[in-house]
Amino acid sequence: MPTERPAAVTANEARYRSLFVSEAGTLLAAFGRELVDAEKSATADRLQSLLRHVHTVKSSAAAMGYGAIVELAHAAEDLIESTGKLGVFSRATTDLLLEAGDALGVQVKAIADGAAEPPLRSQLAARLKAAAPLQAASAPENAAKGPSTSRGAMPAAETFDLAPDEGVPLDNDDLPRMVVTVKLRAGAHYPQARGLVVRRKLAALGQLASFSGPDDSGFIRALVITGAPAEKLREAAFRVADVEHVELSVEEKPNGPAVEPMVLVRASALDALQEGAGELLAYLSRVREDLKEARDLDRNALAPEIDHLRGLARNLHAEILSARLTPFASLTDRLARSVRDLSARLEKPCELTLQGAEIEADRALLDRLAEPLGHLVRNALDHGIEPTAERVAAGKPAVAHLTLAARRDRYRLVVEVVDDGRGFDGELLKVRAVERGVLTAARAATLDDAEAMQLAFLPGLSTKGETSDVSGRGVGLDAVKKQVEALGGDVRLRSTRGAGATIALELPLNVSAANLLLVGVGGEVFGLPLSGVVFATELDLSTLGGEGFMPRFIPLGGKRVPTSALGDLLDVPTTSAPGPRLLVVLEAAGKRAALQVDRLHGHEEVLLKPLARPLDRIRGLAGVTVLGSGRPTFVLDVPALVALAAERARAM
Amino acid sequence: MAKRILIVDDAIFMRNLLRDIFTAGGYEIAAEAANGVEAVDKFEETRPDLVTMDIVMPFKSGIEATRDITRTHPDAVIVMCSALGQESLAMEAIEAGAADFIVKPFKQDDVLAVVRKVLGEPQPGAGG
Repeated sequence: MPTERPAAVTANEARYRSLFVSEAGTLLAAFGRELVDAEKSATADRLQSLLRHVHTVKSSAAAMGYGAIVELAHAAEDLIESTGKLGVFSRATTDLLLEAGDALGVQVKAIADGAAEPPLRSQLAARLKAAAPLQAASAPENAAKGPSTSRGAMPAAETFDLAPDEGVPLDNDDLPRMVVTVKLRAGAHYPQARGLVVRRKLAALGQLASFSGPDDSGFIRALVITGAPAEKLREAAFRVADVEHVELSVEEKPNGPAVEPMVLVRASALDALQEGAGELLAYLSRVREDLKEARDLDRNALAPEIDHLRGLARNLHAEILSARLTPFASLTDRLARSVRDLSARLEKPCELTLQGAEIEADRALLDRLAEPLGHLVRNALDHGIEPTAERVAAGKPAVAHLTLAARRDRYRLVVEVVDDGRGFDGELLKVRAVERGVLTAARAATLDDAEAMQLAFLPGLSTKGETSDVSGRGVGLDAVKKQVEALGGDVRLRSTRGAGATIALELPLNVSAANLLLVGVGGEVFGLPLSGVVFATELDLSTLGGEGFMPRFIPLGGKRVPTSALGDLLDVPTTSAPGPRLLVVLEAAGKRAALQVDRLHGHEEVLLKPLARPLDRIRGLAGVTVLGSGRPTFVLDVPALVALAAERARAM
Repeated sequence: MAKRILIVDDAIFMRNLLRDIFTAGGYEIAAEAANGVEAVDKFEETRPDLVTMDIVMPFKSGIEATRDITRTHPDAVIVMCSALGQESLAMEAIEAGAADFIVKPFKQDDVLAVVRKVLGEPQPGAGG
C-alpha cells in the first residue's frame, strides 16, 4: 500500500488541506445525522450512505497522509459493514459509531486549526475493531439476510471462479493452441482482480481452454485456442496495469488430464515447517507492534512493507496447515474395521453410517482423536447397544445403528458418535454421583436431565456394573473427556433413556494455532480463543440495579445468562471505570456466560503452548502464548470459564 | 494531441487531486462528474479517451455507470478507482466492462503508469 502522498498534494498543501477540511466536515455532519436515522431503521440505503461518507473521508485522509483518521475511519467502516450483515443496528453500535464520528471531527478540527494531525488518544479504534469481526462472526446465518452494503462482502472465490475452465469444447483442432504466460510485477495490487482483467482480455480474442493464477509469484498461465496473431494476444495482455512480462508459445499437442505430482513428506518435517512459519508470524507481529513506538515517518514507510510480509507469512502458515490436513476418512477407515469385528464378536449386528468423511482436519488432531473415538465406539457397542433379543423385546430393529459424523462448525470440528442403544439413565447417574460423594443429594435434585447426563464424564461413574473384556473398566468416559480436553476440545452427552445416546466432541480445527480475542482486566491481558466467543457487547448494568450493581444473570437473547467479572473468576483486581460494562459472551457445550472485562484489545493469531506444571492445575487457564508485542499471555479455557461463571451465579 | 480524460468521483477532494495529477501528466480533462448518472451524461457529451470511475457513489454506482457506458460503447476505456479492501467490487467492475483499476490510496506515478499502460502509451524512461 503506497502511503507516500501524491506529489500534487505536496505541491499544493494549503489548498488540499482546506478542501479536505471542508468536505470532511460536511460528510461527518451527514454521518452523524444519518446514523441516528439508521438506528431507527437500518435500511440498505442508509448503511450504503453511511459507508460512503466515512469511506470518502478515509480516502481523502489517506491522500493527505492523515494516518489516525484513516485508521479510525477504516475501523468504523468495518463495523458498519459487519453490522449491516447482521441487519441489526444496536444502541451500542450507534453509540460507538457516534463516538467515532465525533473523534473524526476532533481530528479534522485540529487540522483546520493548522496543527499537524494529533495522534489518537482513546482506544476507540481498537474498540471499533473489536466490535466488528465478532458481531459478524456471531451470526453467520444472518449474513445472507442482512442488507447488502456497498463494500460488497461477496466471497471472491464464489463469484469469480478463476479455476481452470471445465467443459470447454475443444473441437477447434485446426486452430493453434497458444500458451500465454503473464507475469505481474511484485507487489501488484489485487492480483486476483488483475488476473480477471487478463482473463477477460484473452477471452475476447479466442477460446479460453484453461486459466490459472496469478500464483504467489504473480504468474498467470492461460491456454487460448485462437486464430488471432500472437502479437495481438501479447499486446492485449500487456496493456493491463502491473503486467510486467508476457510470453507466448504454441502448444504442440493437447495434454492428457493433468495429475498433480505428489511427494511423500515426513510428518516431523511438516511439524517443523509449521512451527517455523508460526514463529515467523509471531515475530512479524512483534515487529509491527514495536513500530507503533517509532516516529511517524518510519512507521509510514515500514508499516505497509511489514504488513505485506505478514500477509506472505500468513499465506505460508496457511499453506503448511493445509498440507497437514487429512480427511476424517483416514480415521473412520480404522474405526469401521473395529465396529465390524466387535459387532461379530459380541453378536450384536450393527450397521455403521459415516458422515462427513471428506471433512479435513489437522493430521495431528485426527491422530490424537483415534484413541478417544475408538473408546467411544467400543463403549457404544459393548454397553450402549443391547443384545439382539433385548432390542427385539423393546420393539427396536434387531440390527443396531451406529453413526460416526464429522462436520465443521465455524472454527471447530465436531465429531459425533450416535448409537440407538439403551441410552444413559440420568436418575441412575445422579444416584451414583451422590453415593460416591461427588454431589449432595440436594444439589443432585436441582440438576435437570441434560445436566445429569454430564455426570457420566466424572471418574468412576460408569453405570454398567460388570467388567467387560472389550472396553474394560476404569477407562471410561472420564478418560475420553480428559483426552479431548487436552486437545483444547470439549465433550457433551445427549441421551434419551431407551433410545440411544449421542456423544459430541467439539474440537479446534488444529492443535497449535489459535485466534484470540485479547481482553484486559486490571493491568493484565488475557487471550480468549475466538472459537468460544459469541460476541462482545456493552451493557449499562446500572440501569438494572444502580451504579456498581453486578447481577448474577443478565437477559441475553431471551435467556438468562450467568454473568461474572472475569477478574473475579481469575482473582485479578479490575479497574473498570463506572458506566457501561464491556461484556464478552462465551459459549461452550451449548451454555453461555457473559464475562465482564475492562478493555478489549482486538484480536491476534497466536501459537499456543501448553501450560507447565503446576499452572496446568489452575482452572480457567488453557495455555500460554507470546503476543506480537512480546508480552507473554495466558490463554483462557472457555469451557472452564463458562462452568465457573455458572457455579458462581448459582452459589451467590 | 493530448488524450482526454473524464474524472468521475463524488468527492471534490479526489476530483481535484486527479485533475492535478492528469494535468501534470500531460492529459486534458474532458469533464468531471460527481455520480454515476452524471458520468453517463458526460461520457455521451464529451466522448473521452479514458474515464476514471469511483466505485461507491450516490444515485448510481460506478459499477452501474460502467455497465451502462460499455453497453452502448464497448470500446470505452474505463479505469476504476477502487480502495483497499474493495477487491471483490473491483472484480465486479471488471465483469461489468471496466478496462482496469487503480487502488486508493495511490501515488501520483502509479496513477499515471496505469493510465499510460491502458492507453498503450510508452512509460517515461521505458525506452519505447
